[in-house]
Formats: sequence, structure tokens, C-alpha cells
Amino acid sequence: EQRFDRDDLASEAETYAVRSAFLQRQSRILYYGFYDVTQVQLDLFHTVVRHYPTTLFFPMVKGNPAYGFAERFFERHLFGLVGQAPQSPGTAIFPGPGHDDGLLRSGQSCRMLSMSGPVDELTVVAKDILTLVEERGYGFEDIGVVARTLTGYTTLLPRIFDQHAIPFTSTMTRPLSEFPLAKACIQLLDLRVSGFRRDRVIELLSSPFLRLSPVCPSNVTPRHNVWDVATRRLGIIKGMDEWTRLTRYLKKDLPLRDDDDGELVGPRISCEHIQHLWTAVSALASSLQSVPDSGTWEDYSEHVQRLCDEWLDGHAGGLDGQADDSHQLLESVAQALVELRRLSAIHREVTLVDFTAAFHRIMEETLVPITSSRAGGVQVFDAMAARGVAFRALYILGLNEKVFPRHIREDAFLRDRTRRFLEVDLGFKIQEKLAGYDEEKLLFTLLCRSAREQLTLLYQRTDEAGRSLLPSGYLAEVQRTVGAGEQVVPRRLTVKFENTPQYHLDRLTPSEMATKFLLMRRVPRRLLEEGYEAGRVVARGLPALSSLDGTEQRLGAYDGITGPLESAWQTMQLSGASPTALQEYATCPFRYFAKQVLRLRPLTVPESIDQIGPAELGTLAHSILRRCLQALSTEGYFSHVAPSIDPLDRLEQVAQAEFERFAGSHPVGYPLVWRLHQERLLTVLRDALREDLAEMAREGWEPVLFEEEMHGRLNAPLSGMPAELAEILITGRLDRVDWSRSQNAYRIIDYKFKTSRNPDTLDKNLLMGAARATRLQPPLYLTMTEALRTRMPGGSTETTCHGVWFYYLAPAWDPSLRQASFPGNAWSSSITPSILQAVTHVLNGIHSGRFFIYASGSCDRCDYRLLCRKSHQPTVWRARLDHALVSPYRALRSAPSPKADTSPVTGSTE
Amino acid sequence: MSTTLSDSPARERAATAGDRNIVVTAGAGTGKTTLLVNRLLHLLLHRAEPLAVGDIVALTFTNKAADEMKLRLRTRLNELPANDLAAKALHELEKSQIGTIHSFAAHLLRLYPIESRVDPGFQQDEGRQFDEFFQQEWAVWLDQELGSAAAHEEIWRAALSSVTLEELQELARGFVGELIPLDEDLDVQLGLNGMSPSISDWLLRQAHIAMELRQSHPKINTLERLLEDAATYLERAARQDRCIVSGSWDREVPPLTKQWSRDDHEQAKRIVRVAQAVATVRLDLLQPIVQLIVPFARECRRRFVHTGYISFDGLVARARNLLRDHPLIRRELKRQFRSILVDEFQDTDPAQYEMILYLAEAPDAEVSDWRKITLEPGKLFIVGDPKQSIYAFRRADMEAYDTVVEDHILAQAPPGECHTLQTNFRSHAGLLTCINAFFSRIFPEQAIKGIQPRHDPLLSRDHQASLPGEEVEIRLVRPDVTDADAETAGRAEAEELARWLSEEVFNREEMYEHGVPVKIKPAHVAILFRTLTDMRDYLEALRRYQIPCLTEGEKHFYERQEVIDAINLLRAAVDAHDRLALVGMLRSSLGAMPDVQIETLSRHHLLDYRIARMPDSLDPQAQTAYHAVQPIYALLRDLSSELPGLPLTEVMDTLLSKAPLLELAAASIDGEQAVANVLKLRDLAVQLAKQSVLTLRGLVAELTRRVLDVPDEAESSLAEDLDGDGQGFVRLLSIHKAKGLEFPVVILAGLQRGTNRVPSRIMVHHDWSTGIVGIKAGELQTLGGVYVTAKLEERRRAEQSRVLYVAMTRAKRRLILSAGITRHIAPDSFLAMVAQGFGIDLDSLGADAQTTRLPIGSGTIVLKVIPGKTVPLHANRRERAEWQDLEHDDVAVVRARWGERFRRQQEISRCPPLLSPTFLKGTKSRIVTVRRSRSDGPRSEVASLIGTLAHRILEQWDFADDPTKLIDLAEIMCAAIDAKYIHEYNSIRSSVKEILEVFIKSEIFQILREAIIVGREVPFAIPWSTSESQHSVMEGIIDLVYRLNGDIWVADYKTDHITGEEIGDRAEEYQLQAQIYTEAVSKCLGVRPKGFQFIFLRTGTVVPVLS
Ligand code: SF4
Repeated sequence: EQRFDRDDLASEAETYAVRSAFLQRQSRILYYGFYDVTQVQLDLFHTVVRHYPTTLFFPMVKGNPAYGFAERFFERHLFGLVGQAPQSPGTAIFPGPGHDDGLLRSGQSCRMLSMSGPVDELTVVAKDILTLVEERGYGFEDIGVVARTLTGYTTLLPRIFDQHAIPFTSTMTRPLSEFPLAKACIQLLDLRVSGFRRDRVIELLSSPFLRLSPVCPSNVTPRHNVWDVATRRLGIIKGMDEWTRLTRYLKKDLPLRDDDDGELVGPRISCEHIQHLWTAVSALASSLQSVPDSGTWEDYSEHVQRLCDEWLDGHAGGLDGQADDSHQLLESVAQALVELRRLSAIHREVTLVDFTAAFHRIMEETLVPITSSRAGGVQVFDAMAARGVAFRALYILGLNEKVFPRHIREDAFLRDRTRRFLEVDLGFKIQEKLAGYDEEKLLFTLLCRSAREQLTLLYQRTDEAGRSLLPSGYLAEVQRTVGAGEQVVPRRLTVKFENTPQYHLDRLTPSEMATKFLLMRRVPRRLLEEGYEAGRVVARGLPALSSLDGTEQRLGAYDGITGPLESAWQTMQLSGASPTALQEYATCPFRYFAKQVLRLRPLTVPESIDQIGPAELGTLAHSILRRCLQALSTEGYFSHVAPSIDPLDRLEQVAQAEFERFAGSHPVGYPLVWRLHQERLLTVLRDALREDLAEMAREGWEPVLFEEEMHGRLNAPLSGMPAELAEILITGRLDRVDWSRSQNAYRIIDYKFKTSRNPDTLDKNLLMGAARATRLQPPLYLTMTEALRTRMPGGSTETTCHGVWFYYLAPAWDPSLRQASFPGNAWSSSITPSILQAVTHVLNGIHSGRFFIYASGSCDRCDYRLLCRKSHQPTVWRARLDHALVSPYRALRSAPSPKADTSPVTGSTE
Repeated sequence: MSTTLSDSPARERAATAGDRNIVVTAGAGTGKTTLLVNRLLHLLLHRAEPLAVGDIVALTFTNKAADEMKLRLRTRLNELPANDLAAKALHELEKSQIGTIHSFAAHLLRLYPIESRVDPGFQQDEGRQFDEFFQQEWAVWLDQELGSAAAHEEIWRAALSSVTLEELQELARGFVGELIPLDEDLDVQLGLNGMSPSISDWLLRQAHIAMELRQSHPKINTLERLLEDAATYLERAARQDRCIVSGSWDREVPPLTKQWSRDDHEQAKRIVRVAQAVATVRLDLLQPIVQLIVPFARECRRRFVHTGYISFDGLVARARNLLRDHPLIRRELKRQFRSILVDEFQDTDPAQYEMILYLAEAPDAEVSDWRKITLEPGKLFIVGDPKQSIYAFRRADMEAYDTVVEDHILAQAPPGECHTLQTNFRSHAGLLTCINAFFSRIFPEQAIKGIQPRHDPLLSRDHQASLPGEEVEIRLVRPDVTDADAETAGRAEAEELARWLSEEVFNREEMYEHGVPVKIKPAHVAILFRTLTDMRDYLEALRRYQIPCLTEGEKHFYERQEVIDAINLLRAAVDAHDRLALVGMLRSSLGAMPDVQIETLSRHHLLDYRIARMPDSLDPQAQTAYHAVQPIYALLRDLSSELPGLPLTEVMDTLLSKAPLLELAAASIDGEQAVANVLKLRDLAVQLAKQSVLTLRGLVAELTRRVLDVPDEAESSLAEDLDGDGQGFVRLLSIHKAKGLEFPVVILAGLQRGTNRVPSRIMVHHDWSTGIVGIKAGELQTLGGVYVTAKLEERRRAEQSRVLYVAMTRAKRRLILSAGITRHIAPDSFLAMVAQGFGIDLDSLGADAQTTRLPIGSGTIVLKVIPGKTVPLHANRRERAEWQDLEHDDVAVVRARWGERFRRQQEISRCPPLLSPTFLKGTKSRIVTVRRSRSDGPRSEVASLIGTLAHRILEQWDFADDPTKLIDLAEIMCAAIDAKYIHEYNSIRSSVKEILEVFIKSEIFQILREAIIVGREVPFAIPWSTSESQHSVMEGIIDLVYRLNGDIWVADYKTDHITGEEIGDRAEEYQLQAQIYTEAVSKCLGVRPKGFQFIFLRTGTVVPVLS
């Protein structure tokens, strides 16, 4: 396949020029726009000149440095062709020596504007244009907006001009890859490369351009949000293996949470959704399956075209008029694929990964015109495109250093010294790169002169972040020769509103107008209510805002002070309150509100999990130990029926089963790391079990209950707690209860898995935790003693509770099994007042609906930190200074450790 | 330049010397930029052989400094009387190499891309590209390494038992940094081939110091014994014998006792720790990890360069290598750059020193070891101030500085000259006296090579009197709680500072400005902090006192409520299941829902904006909540349907235009700042959106990640970075940011804070002077790691004095040193240093308010102790401005105005300036061209190709010619069709021929043979006005114009398959085209055509349209 570039054409044309019938018919040939030609083009020109009557219009003012570039070209390459000195009708804006007249065209005015950042630059231009058109009789088409390059303006300009209702036409383009439809094409192929990564699949499925009708029955709307939740729930990360987890729920609904039992409770996702998802994913998979791992460019281009035809809908697009654009975009994609086929000429086989990269790149490089559907209006060009166009008023944007003149570098492969040699000594027309600065100057000069009446030069004094920028060297020159005044557009919005003519009220959009008045603390009520759509939402929000930003030292309705929530309280009374939930209140009342009252849970992101987290490890540790002990108990290990059982063997078996179960429905990260975690966990558990069993044997304990759901009630009359609080049902799942026949006592064991390096005070001192309400399990478990007693194999009224024990599974602590205990008589001892106070405070807070924020160290990992406004100053201050509400709470949080009758900690670290 | 300055001769000589290399030590505020510009002017204009702009390299530390230098140079050149040299310099200024070392390095790499192994079109990466790239590479690598087929399982097991995955990642990142040499043998760096002499020397030195310390403390207690053991051990270790000698090793150093001075104790502690660290070096554990990671790092570096980006380190490392390893290139560049000026030499990375040495080398030798370089005299001009070297964290290296200055520049023959600028143009004499006296106690009398320079006093320029208060003042705030820690004390201090400024200073006290007394305004004041983390409490306090503040370098953008609100809105709109985001959004001013209503919605399962119909049987409370939330739910539904179809760059704008986040931000308590932040968020989102890989959910995920992790990002600045201009704000900034700046009133706040440094568990650091790479991973480290850690630690300690020096020399009129008094004064706090330098005994300060004047040197300072409150009395001192309704709220005018504007825009957009007949056809008759559907694509494409071919053939055809040749011509033209139609070639060819054969036989063809052909395929453009626009241009191409019997005819070929009725249907459209063409021909030829014809080639029929 033969390919031609422009030079090839010129050189081909040269051979025909002499005997061209077409040229022979012409009475005169006119050339213009002519100073950046190549040698080959120049050759063609020479040939034409030699054979035909030719006139060249050439921009040059002899002796004027601004035209130095043109002059040099003229002298080197054209001078020999003309007999006499060229005629020069023009004058320059930068006169050289001896040209002190006609700085600008007569009647042309010139001014300079500086501002901060491109947004301001364009906004000022837009508002200025409105004035020109509405007050000075300009047509939009009389006005030009030109920048050396429009690259930095392609997203801003259309937006700002549209906001100001300014029609424009432009040479601007944007990459095809910016459009969601084009992205969907890439994503489609990328699924195959990424191995069906979950997030990417869901993203693609949620694209409005994906044609789902073939896989989803027409009466069902695809619910990608539900699919998203379902796949997160199933811990799918990537690979069709993991996707097949969906098939487990084709017939039964998918529960959204699992409890420790692996038994599934709570809200569910209907299996119908899962069916659709599975159909869609498997259809995508089979459609992509035929795409090979390596192939020719043609093959791949065809595959992609097929995929696009099959899956993408060019007539989709939610909005009016978008369907046409979508179709155009698909055409462009098809064109890009045709381009890619051509690479076969270079090499035949490519890998899928390389093809995808190339596809991606060509989508970035394929440019789509921005003003496809527009046409008339202000003419927006880059400086090259603006050559030869005349305007009544012209704005030149971005007159900054390294922008205009652009930053020019030498060509590393053909250095300027070589170029100079080629051109000067060998007479071959080739431009020195750095001579480009002269060309820039010429460009600027011509541009300035293309404004008949009004020339506005703009530069960014500082960038959008306020960092200073250098103006173009041209400005100093203009200033020196023309003395144009500079208008400084301030950076601050309030100052702009105050004293910048362009920001006159007439030229503010309704939204800007509202912003202006609101900044002045005036409410433009009618404007908000009737002026524009979003205005109503502002009007609606203002009263709330005044509470949110209120300076009174009172927590209010937006600060989590809900007042008594009767229904919520009743629900809690019915279903019971768990100690862990209640202690959440002590950590942060608002967190309790979000988690326990609103029942908000964060969405998990399986992709981001590279290893199993501490919470999951804890759950695993729990369930392994429990199942192991339960197994041992059932098999009669403790009753010495089956002494031959090796408990550690049993532990291993249980652990293996648990690990497998867990990995089947949760993301566990890298396999090797997962293995290491399993091993480490097993080591910890082994040690714990060994010591635990030894201790039980030594002290005569036998585990009798595991993961037992129990209920209790605060003993109201005894506690002196208000009755409505005391009635609350306490529920809890006890990890394990041991029974000692010899002591006629039982004890409650709770496992705590810890990944910290060292235990903290509250880990060691459970009494303090109880008094501060941040460790409520021990005291509240003790409200279940009545019920427990009856469950003990030989329980009687004499049976006592030995206490609650926390067994720490803490790989990093030393020694790794650590215990802390809480006295069984806590409710009838010297510490009763402290724990009673703690529990009362918590229950009271919940009952009366006081859910303010309490920012502390636990905020860093808190799931609710984006909705509690903990970094909003007025909110924080209210939560700090509403002493009536907050002080008692703060006192609770720093309550001292009560003095107990018994020693709370064994195996102390001290 | 004033000739009365005592250092004038030095300035003069420095600016003009041509035969020697020059080192200028320019103390704070001594006008070094002026000197640099003078030097440049000298080189360009006054030197015996003036240099061209392109002969000079001038390197600065920051872009801002480079800009300033360029600007000043341009101004000076512009001010000069007309002069050829100046004009030439001005003309060439664009091409100058005045810039940062990074931009210069990039310039070199682009000139020699092959030798530097870079893509010539590479872009500089500010860090973000690399971060992303590294994350990806790391993930891919881990996938391989830790996947089911893990090849290095044992190493990983070992590695993960001592360090976490995150730490390993950090280690790998360290190795990927291009300034870490990876080409050399790793074993050397790990110390497997024996100990580097630098390390053994150092160990011996440590042993020696330990012994000396031991001997100066004759009693024998634990510490003394530990020291003794350490000394013995270190000595043996230096001889490569690292067996543990005695058992008392891992013991903690006992606390300070009476027998020991604090300094000695600290030093003893450090040495014992060094010995302990040396003893725990376990290469057997570290080596496999390093050997695992280094190949990854190498590959990662290589691949990153292939992405077309180069990091800042990469620029310097590669430019250095280019100069070092390519003698010919070095020679060429040495020839090109005839003068090298370097600013802020003390803060330059040593790799950059190397570059500069290579370029400044004498002409005829290109040695490969920088240590052996001989410099060309007169080429190098460096300016710096070692007392202001505060960038150790960016690898500024005092040892390297001293090596280059003393061993290269000053020591070589002919020796370089060292000039010191001491005249300070910034501060008045009263301040300088105290500052000099203070630093003469802080800095050593003689420089300690590689650690600390000596003190050169600053001389004042004039002796203008000062106003009361224009002095050094120490304000110590005693908090109202006992045993306050630094933070609590800081709160009291901040509160007091804000109160003092607002109630006593602003608009009350005075200072000199340009020689006249003026009232002090916020814009005069800058508050400097050692670290930015300290800044927050102060900012809050100042804002509470309604003092306009501007922070530089605070990084709380992603914690701002308006930013979180906007992101919550976006999250909720994109993911209807994200209830956290939804509730966050409902709790904002946009959602405006009180919590009790949110609870109601939640209880009734109404926290879902897709619910657009009120469920039956809601209780009244729930109904109220439901109605209240509906407008917002409607908004969310609208957004959630629109956003996925938009280009990402438009997402944020759509959000802002539909949801009035800006207006609500404006109405919020931080009004203008909040608006600016929302706008900044929009700009950031657009920037992100430009990455083509990102999708909508990706964008949302990224923004969510940011608000959760709160990466450093500054709030949008209300002021601009224009020199010296406070723009009405008190400025709050870090000392590092304040370097190079000056302010009338400087407050150094939070002096009581210590550095609280937690040593990093991971380190990969290349020590330039010795070439040792220190490696540390958790508990594991190399001997080099121990050595480098200790060295960096020592440098860091010394640097603190310099940071204080920079801070205290920023003030022009007034310097306030402010601190809260804590129970224990942290020994590494500035307060401790201030107390030492001014000779204040902090323990003896009374509990009550007091003011004392203390003499220091020949001046005095004021010391105040002030009681302060830790809990402010008010939540917010800002009076809430009275909100009022706007009086003249004429909404009708606004609506009419914008209604008209949008109507006008629509109209003009519909009507382009360049019209074509087909365009008009579209608008007039509303004939919408049926788009080809994909399935019939090729067919219609081929059809249009056939049409085009027929037109082209007839364009070439001379009707006078032999008709049979027309078919030959068709053959030729068909042969040239695009290769992609190769399969359809035969059918295309026969179709074309068929069409033409019919045409040849037609009546019209015979007529045309007789006619005079005036033009074929004639382009035209004529003015055209339509109802919408008076100024349009109509353009088109006329297939044929001919003259027959004196009449002009215009014709248009049609190749459509068309039936008689269809022609009738299209009459209107045809009429229009005929009108336009006829008009065009009349205008251009000045003759009215007789008529217009459509020639249907396929049938040979003619449809005339008479004019
Ligand atoms: S982030 Fe802190 S203040 Fe906010 S809810 Fe969580 S714990 Fe409470």
C-alpha cells in the first residue's frame, strides 16, 4: 500500500507542473500565506514561478524586526526570483528604527488585562463580549478569541461561553477517549485483559451505552447498583472462577450479611437480579472468549469492531440529541480501528495487551471537533488557524512566558547547527528550530494587526492556585511602544463583584448573582424562588444552613440531637440491646446513631483488599476456637469420655474447614499472604488452646456453652436506675461459658483478637473500661447470671459466677495469651455505683436522643467520618462548648478506675 | 548600588570578577538576587568579550526565583538606554537557561535523548504519574510473587515475618528512586564484601568519643559501664569482629543523673544506641529481601521511563550520568556554557553539585570521578548561605557543600574567591543587634566542617530610629491548667495571640513603612511555624477573632465541609446504594434534613432516592419527612441519570449547575473561602477526569479515597503569590515556605513544640560524600544503614539552629517569639533554644503577668509572661452579619435578559456563517438524511464511492473528446480506488462503467458535446443572507457550467437511483439548490443563466429547473 505525505505530493506535482493544462490555462497564479514551506514545496513554487506569471503576497515590512523571520526567508529563497524590490503596502505594530508611525492600525485601540488563572481569563472575555455585542453593536462573528494554542482551554471555553450564552465556532477538538461511549469500547476489551475485574465489569454494565437488551428480558431494568452490592458481598475480585460464585444464588436469594455461624440472616438480594447479572457476565465472557491472546492487528480490529457492534448501542445516550453524537462517535471508533489495521504493515503478531494499549492510545489521539453542532458566533482559533482572518475585535489569550511565544527546543536529531549548515551553506530550505522564535513574533504581529478596531491582550498574572506566572516578553514590548493600559482583574470573587466592570450585575448569570448577594449576606429571595431551577434548593437550604453555621453554644437538630426516638427505643426494648452496640455510644454518640439507629454500613471494596484485615482475622479466630471447643465438648473430650482425642489435631481440622469456608465468600488477598496469615493464626490459636486446656484441667473448668445467645435485664429496683431505662433487654452472645463442678461456679469467657503491638490500659483494666462505658460486655454479661445458672449442668441457687474473662489472642503481645478478668460480683460490690452510672449515662443518652459527635483517636478509622461533620468548625465548637450536654459525657470518658474488691488483672504486664 | 556599604568592594568584585571562580556567602536579606542580576548584566554587557544569553546557565532553587531573576533582568535591560547588546540580550531572553536545575537537566536530556536513554518528548512528572505507575507495577508484581505459584516463597515468608507488606512497598519505592545507584554490585552496598573504610573510620571515631566520655565520668554506674562496652564493641566492630563481648547490651540507657550534663548524656545515649544497632545488623535476613526487591526496582525504573515521564530525581540522575559518562557531550556543553551561576547553593542536592562540577570543568580533560575534577577559573559563580541550609529532607547536604566549596572551588589553583555579603537591607539596626547577639551564641565560632557553618553577623544599612514596639519581643503564655502539654499550651497561646493582635495591635500600634509611621494592619503580619501541623489551632483562633488569614502550605482541603458535601453528593448520585454518602449529603446544607427526619426516613426504608412515589400508609411524621426530602431526591435522580452519559470532564460542572453548591457555600460562614474551595474541587476533578483511563466510578472512587485519606492539598488561596503583598491578610506559613520572603512583622509561634520525630522504619538513602547506601527495613538494617541514620540524625539536629535563623531573619520591623509554657520544656523545642540564646531561665519565671526588658549584646529585648485560657469563651467571635432580604430583587429583568441571550445563542448556533446548499436543504425541508445502520454500512459506502468516482471522471472529461475514451478514463480512475475496497473493485468498476455508458448514449451527452464547457467542478463562495443571519457566506461546487447557443446553463449530476415520483417529492429541495447555483453563476459571471438542470446519469434524464 502506497502512502503519500504532503511533500511527496508536492514533489509529484512538480513533475507535472511544467506541462499542466490547468496551469497553462491560468492568466495569473496568486500565492499567499507563504513562509513556512519546506524545500520540496519551495521547489514546486520555483518551478511554477519559472513557467507562469505569478504573484506572491508575502507578509514583510523591510527592516522591521518583527518581520525579520519573513525577511530572512525572502532573502534566502525568494529574492532571486523577483526582479525588483517588493511592494509594501503595510505598516508594523512594532516599528523598527525609522518606523515611528502607525503603531496600530488607525482606529485600533489596544488594552491589556491580567488575571488569575484560565477560568477568570475566559470569564472576563465572555462578559466583555456580551458588552461588545449588547452595547456596542458588534456581531458575535465580528469577534475573535485567539490563543497560541487552545489546548488549555478546550474544556473551559465551551463551558464558560455556554454559561454566558455566547455562540462560537472553533477549531478546538477533544480526544475521542474522553467520551463515555468510547471509554466503554476500551473497557469492553479491557475486561478480557484484566481478567474480568469486578469493578470494571460493574462499571461497564452501568454504562448507558451498553446494549443489555439481548441478555436482560425486556421487562426488567438492569440494576447495576444491586449487582454492585451483590458482587461486593460475594467478595468477587476477578477471574471467571470467582464470578461463578453467583451461580450459588441463581435459585435462592443472596443475604446481605452473614453472621459468625455462616448462617445467613438479614436483608437479601433477589435471585432474579443475580440471574440477570450472571447472564450478562457470562454472555460478555463468551463474547470475549474468542478474542485470542495474540493475533494480527486485523484480527484484533475485527474483534473489537464485532464487540462494539454486538454490545454498544450508538442510539443510546440518555439525553436528547446525544444519540446522533453517539452514532458519530461509534463511527470515529470504527475509523480508529481501520487505522489500527494498517499497523499490520509493520508487524503482524501482537499480544492482546499491546493491542489494547495501542487501541487506547489511538482513542486518545483521535480528535473529535468540539463544535460539531455549532457554527455561527465568536471565532475561536489557535494562532496558526487565525492567520489571515480579520476581526473587528480580537482577544488574544494566554500571553504568558513559554506560551506565546511558545517554548521552543532544538531538535535533538537534527541540531540547529546542522540545519544552519544545510540551509546557509547547502541552500536547502530547512528551518533552524530556535529561529522559530522569530516566526512566533511574526505570528503575533500579524495577529495584532488582524483586529480592525479593538485589540485586547490577556495574560495570567498568576495561575489557578495563585502562583505567580511571567507575562510574555511581547507585552513589555507592546507596553513600551503603545503604552497600553493594564486592567487588573482581581483574584478574589468579592473584589471582582465589587469593582470589576466586567462583573457588572447585567452580566452575571443568575447563579453568579445569587452567589454575589449571598456573599454580601443578602438573600435574593425572588431570584432564588423564580430565577432559576437550582435557586429553589438554595432557598430551601438557607434555614438549615443558619443552624449548621450557628454560633450559639447549643447543639441542635442538625447535630444529632434528635430528641426521644420512641419507635427506635421500642424496637430496642423488644429486640434487646447488645453490650457492643451500647459501648459504641460511649465511643461516640453520633457513631452509635449512624451505626445502630440508622444502620448504615460502608460498602466493601474487594479490589482494594490485598490481605485479610484484623476484624476478619478476629472473626475467624473466634469461630475456629469456638468450633474446636464445641467439637471437643461434643466428642466428650472434657467429660473424659474420649481422652484419646488430640485437641490440636481437631483445631487444625476445624481451622482448615473454616479457612476454606471463609475464602469461598470473602476476599482474602494474595494467596501466599493468606497462607501466612492462616499459619500465624493457627500458631496463636494452638498456643492459646494448649494453655487454655491446661488451665482448665488444672483448675477444674469445663466449657459447657459456646456462642450462646443470652438475655438479661438490669435489676432496676436494685440499681436505682430510672425504670424506663432499666426495663431494657440486654442481649449478648457469649463466646464460651465454663463450668466448675467442684467450685459450683461458672465463668464467662470472651475471646478478643488483637493485632496491636502492645495491650492498652483498657485491655488490661476492664473495670476502668466498664466505668467509662467503653467495655460494657463484662458488666452486662453479668446481668444474665440468672439465666446462666439454670443452664449449668449442676447449677443451683448456690451456684456463683466467677467473673468475666477476656482471653486475648494477640500474636504480638508477650506472652501471647493474656487474660483480663472482671469480678462476678461487680453488681453487688464497691464498683457498682461506677458501672451503674456508666450504663445509665449511655442508656439515658440513647433514650433522650442525644447523638452529638465526640471526636477522638477513633475517628481515623471510623466509617462515618464523612457524614458526621467532625471537621466543620461550627459543629465542632458546639460539640465542644455545649457544656450542659457534653460535660457529663466527657466526665464519663475520663472516669477513673473504680477500686475493686478483687484484683482485676492476672498475668499483668507490669 | 550604594557605595557607602561596608561590603561594597565584595559586591563589586563578586559582580565583575572574570578570572576566578566565586563563592558568595550572602547572609539573610543581603540582596543576593540583585547581585546575581548585576553579575548577569556584567556578563552580557560589560565584560571584555560580552557573552550571549545562550552562553550562560543560571540555576535557581525554585521556579519562582528563576522567574524573579528573569523579570528583573528583563526590566533592567529594558530600562537601559538603547544599546545593541541590550537589545540582543532582550531578543534572546526566551532562549536563556535561567531556571531550576530540573528544567536545565530536562533541557540537556532532550538535547541528547539517545545517550540519556529517554524519550525525546518526555514529560516531567511531579510525582503523581509515578505514584500511580508504581502502585500498578507493585500490584502486578505482587500478583506474580504472592500468587498461587509463588517462586520465592521462602524469602517472602522471612520478609513478612520482619516487615509488613506496606513497609516492603515503601522499601521498594526507596530503591526505585533514581538517585539510588543500583548499577553497582549490591553486595558492596549490603556490606557483604567487607566494610567500607568510611564506616570503619566512623566506628572507631565513635569508640573514641565513647571512651573519652567514659573517662570524663569517673564514677562507675550503668551508663558508664554501657559506654565502656560500647567503646570496646565499636572498636572491634570497626575491625570486622562483631561478636558480642558482654551481655549487658540491649539495656536501656538510664535517665539523666546529676553526674552528667544533658549534652553529654545525649551523646552517650546516641553512641550506645549506635553500638546496639551495629550489634543487631542481620545481613542474612536483610540480604534476601533486598535481592528480591532490587530487580523489581530496576525493572520498574526502566518501565517508567518508557511511559514517557521522568521524575525530578530521574532528571538530575540522568543528566548527571549523561555528563559523567559521555566525555564528548560534556566537552561540547562545556564549550557552549561559558558561565555558570548557581543560587541557593547550600540547598542543592549533591547530585546536582556533580552536574555543576562536570560543566565547570577545565576545557581539556573529562575525568569521570567528580572528586578529581579541576575547574575552569572564572566560570563558576555560586551564591548561598550555609546558615540558611534547611532542606536536608530534600537531600541538601552540608558535608557535600563544604566539600565542593572548600576542596574544589577555593582550594584549586588559581584559588576561587570567597566573598561575604553582610549588609542587610531588610531589618532595622535594633533587630539586627539582638539577632546577631543571639546567633553568636547558637552558631559555633568556627565552622564545623560538614555540620555547621560559623556565624557571620549581619550589618545594618542605616540607623533609622525605630518606633516603640519595633523590637524583639518574647511572649510566653502561661495556660490556665497545670501540667499543660505542648498542644494544650499551644491552644492558650493561639487564643492569646489572636486576642492580642485584634485588640491591641491592629490599627493601634505603629511601625515604619517606607520611612513613615503607619498603623499596623493584618497585611503586615506573618506568623511562622516550624511545621504545618502546628498551624491549625492558630488559624481557628484568628478566624474566631475575625482576622483575615491566609495560610500557605496548610493542607486541609479535603477536610473542608463544602468539599466533603460536594463529594458526598457525587457519590450518592453515582451509586444509589451508597447510603453513607446519601445520609452525609442529607445532613449538609444542600440536603437540609434534620437528623430526626433522617431517622424517620431510615425507619420507613425511605433512604433511597429512587423512590419517587410516596408509599401508602405512611404515618404523618414520615409523610412530612418524605415531602421534605423529595426535592433533593428529584435532584439526585436527575443527576444519576445524566452523569453516566457525560464526558468525565463535564461531570463536575453539571453537578454544580444542577445543585447549587456554590451558592450554599457562599451563604456559609466561610463564604468566599468555601466558594473558592468548591471551584478548586471542580478544577481538580476536571484534571483527574482528563486521564483517559478513568471512568465515572473511578473518578468517584478516587475522590472518595481523597476525602477519606485526606492527602495534603491546600485550600484554594484567596490571595495571590505576589511578592511582599499581604493583600489584606495575615499570612500563616511554615518557616520553609517563608525562606526568601520578608514581612514587616514576624511572629514565630508555637515555639514550645518539640519535633516529636518518630524515626522511619524504612530507609534507602544514598550518602553522596561516601557513596554508601544506607538500607533499613524495620528492625533489619545494614551497617551502612546505621551509619547513614546516625549521620542524618546529626545533620538534622544541627539544621534546627539554621531553621530558627531563617525564621528570625524574616522580620523588617518587629519580631515576636511566641510560646505557650508547658510543664516540661522539650529539649529540642525552639523555646529551649531561644531561652539558651537569650539567656532566659524559664524555670524561674513567675506565675503572674510580667514584662521585663533584657539586655542582649548592645540591644535589649522584651520578655512578657501572659496568662492564657485553654478553652475559649466563645465558639465564634465572628458577629454573624445581619442577614436581610434583598430589596430590589427584580427577577423578571434577570429572566428576560438571560432568556433573550440564550434564544440568541440558539439562533446563531443554528445558522453557521458558512452555508452550503445541503445545509439549507436540511433546515428548510427538514429532510433528515437517513443514517446508514451498521448492517448496511458497506453497501451505502460503496454507493457513495461510485457517485464520487462518476463526478471525478466527469470533472476530468473533455466533452469534445472521443466518447469511447470516457470508459478508458473510467478504468484509470477506478484503478486508483482505496485498497480497502479491493474486494468490491469489480462491482464498483462495472457500476461506474454502466452509469457512464448510459450517460454517453443520452441526449444530454450529445448536447454537451456541442456546447462550450465554461467550467467543471467550479467552486464558489458568495455572500448570502438568511432570515437568521445577514452575514453568511454560501459556498458550494457547481458540477458543470456550459454555454449553448449563447445561453449559459448550469448543471448538477446525480447518481441516485431515483424514480419519477421521488423527483417530484424533492422538488422543493431541488428548487433551492437551483436558486443558489444560478445566483452564484450570475454574480460571478455577470450573466444570468438560462436555466438549471439536474442530470440523472443512471437514466440519462434531465430535469430542468427554469429560473
Ligand atoms: S469520625 Fe469521630 S466524631 Fe465522627 S462519627 Fe466517627 S467517631 Fe464520631
